[in-house]
Amino acid sequence: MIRLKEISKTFRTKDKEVKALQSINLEIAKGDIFGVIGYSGAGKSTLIRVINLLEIPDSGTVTVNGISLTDVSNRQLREIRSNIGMIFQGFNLMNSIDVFNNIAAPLKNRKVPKKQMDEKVDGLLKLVGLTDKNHAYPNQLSGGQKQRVAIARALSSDPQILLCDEATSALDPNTTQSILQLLREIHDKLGITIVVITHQMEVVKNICNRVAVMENGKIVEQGDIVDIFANPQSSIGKEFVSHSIGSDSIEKNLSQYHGIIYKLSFFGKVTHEPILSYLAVHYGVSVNILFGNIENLHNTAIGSLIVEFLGKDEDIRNAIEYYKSLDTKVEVIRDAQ
Amino acid sequence: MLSNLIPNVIEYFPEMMKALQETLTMVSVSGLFSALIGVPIGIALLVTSEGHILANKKFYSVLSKIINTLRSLPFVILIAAIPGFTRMIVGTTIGVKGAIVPLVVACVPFVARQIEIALIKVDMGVIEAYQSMGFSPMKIIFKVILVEGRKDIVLAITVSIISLIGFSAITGTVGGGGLGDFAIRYGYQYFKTDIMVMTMIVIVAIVYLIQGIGDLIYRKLSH
Repeated sequence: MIRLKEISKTFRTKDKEVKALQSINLEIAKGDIFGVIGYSGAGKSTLIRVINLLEIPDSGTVTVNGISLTDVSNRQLREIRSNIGMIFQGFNLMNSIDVFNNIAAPLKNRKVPKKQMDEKVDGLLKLVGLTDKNHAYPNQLSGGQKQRVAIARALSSDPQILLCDEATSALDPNTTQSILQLLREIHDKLGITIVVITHQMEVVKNICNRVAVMENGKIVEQGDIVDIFANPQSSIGKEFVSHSIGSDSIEKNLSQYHGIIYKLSFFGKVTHEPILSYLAVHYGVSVNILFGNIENLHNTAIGSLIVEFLGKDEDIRNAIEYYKSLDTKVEVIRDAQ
Repeated sequence: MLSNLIPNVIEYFPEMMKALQETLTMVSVSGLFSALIGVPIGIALLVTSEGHILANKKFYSVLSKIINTLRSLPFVILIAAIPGFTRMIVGTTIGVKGAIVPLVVACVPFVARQIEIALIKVDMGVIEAYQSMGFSPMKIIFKVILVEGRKDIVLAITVSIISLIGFSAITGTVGGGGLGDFAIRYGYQYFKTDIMVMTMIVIVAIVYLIQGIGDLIYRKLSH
């Protein structure tokens, strides 16, 4: 549905160059909720703006629904853009007009008849849960309500794609959850493809089925959310995951332990089995648990353990072999001192 | 009693009314034309500035320099410099008619800058949102920038009209008529202090009235 091929973009100011995007290749399928995660300055906002050509890449091609956007006329581009909804961190509503007129703007632009427009806006207000706010002005609304209006506005032209640029970054945790839930409902109800740019693993974990991790203008890894979460390859991907499950503070503070410290990651069936006590019984290895967490992602449980094994070297080696046979990822995060 | 306090004002009352009417005519006619010409130029400045929807470095820089040049000429010199142009447009260089052309020439660049500054406040994020919905640049100007910036346009026009009142008093001294001319002739040259004071009061009242109307509309448009 969306294909970015070899996209590069460099911003030049008088005294420096910022390579915002470097040879980006990305493919987003119809019906995906695709997350792009990275710290600020990683280039993710530039990336999402390339998808509807708000940002024109220096090189590479952007293909949406089989049409190469860099090859079409301005008029055609505007036509295509009206088929791609977009929401923003700052909501970007017009403060001088009321909620109804904000939502109806894309419809007016396409000269939709008044009666049809009224029905459409009513339906959208119902969808985003703001039926009584028809005539309120944006400044009278909370952040979450403003984002709901922005979502309704983005959906009013029945787009096939919704781009979310840090859409929850300005919201508190509860409001973030409710907006994410709304996005998921919209996805399930309308079958719309959603692209989400964020620096919060929370957001990706909650709604995305696929994710790309960005750093310094490059995609360092991408794949299925469960794979990335259970087995991140890039150092930045690992950072996001351990920060998200809360193991990062332990990993940074291991000086009080003396044995070899392992990180065990496992998912699927294994999470339901008592593998630690099995270890003690069959291999005579005692286990000191430093950290443990189980996440549920799209009905797949992903477990993470940080443990210190105490026992004979050989027993420990056998125990590790046993774990590896269970499709568990074993990683030494600190050798014995 | 009033005739003891302001004897000259009462004696010259018809002249004063005529002067007031001249000032109001000068200000309203030149204000109207300045807005009609200045607002589009201000919008052109805004949208062609760097990073805006129709960014065009060359166009912006040429237009901006013309405006800066016109704005840096003192008004008295401007009146004296363009009589040929004034005669070409209205057929005379004196009286209210002859004053309106230099007033417009002086006020247009002022309005243009004021409008540019007023409309810069329209959030680029909002403009970007409408670009993402497929709005053309013209539609963004009329449906977004002018709507979102309308209350600041009102303030910009208000400030422009008030400075026009000041300009219009200067035209009086070079044959334009109006309150400025009246105050200088009777109040200053004939030492009729009560006329000077009364004229000042009238001008201050007009300025307050215009600012008041501007603020009122601004508040009406704020949500």
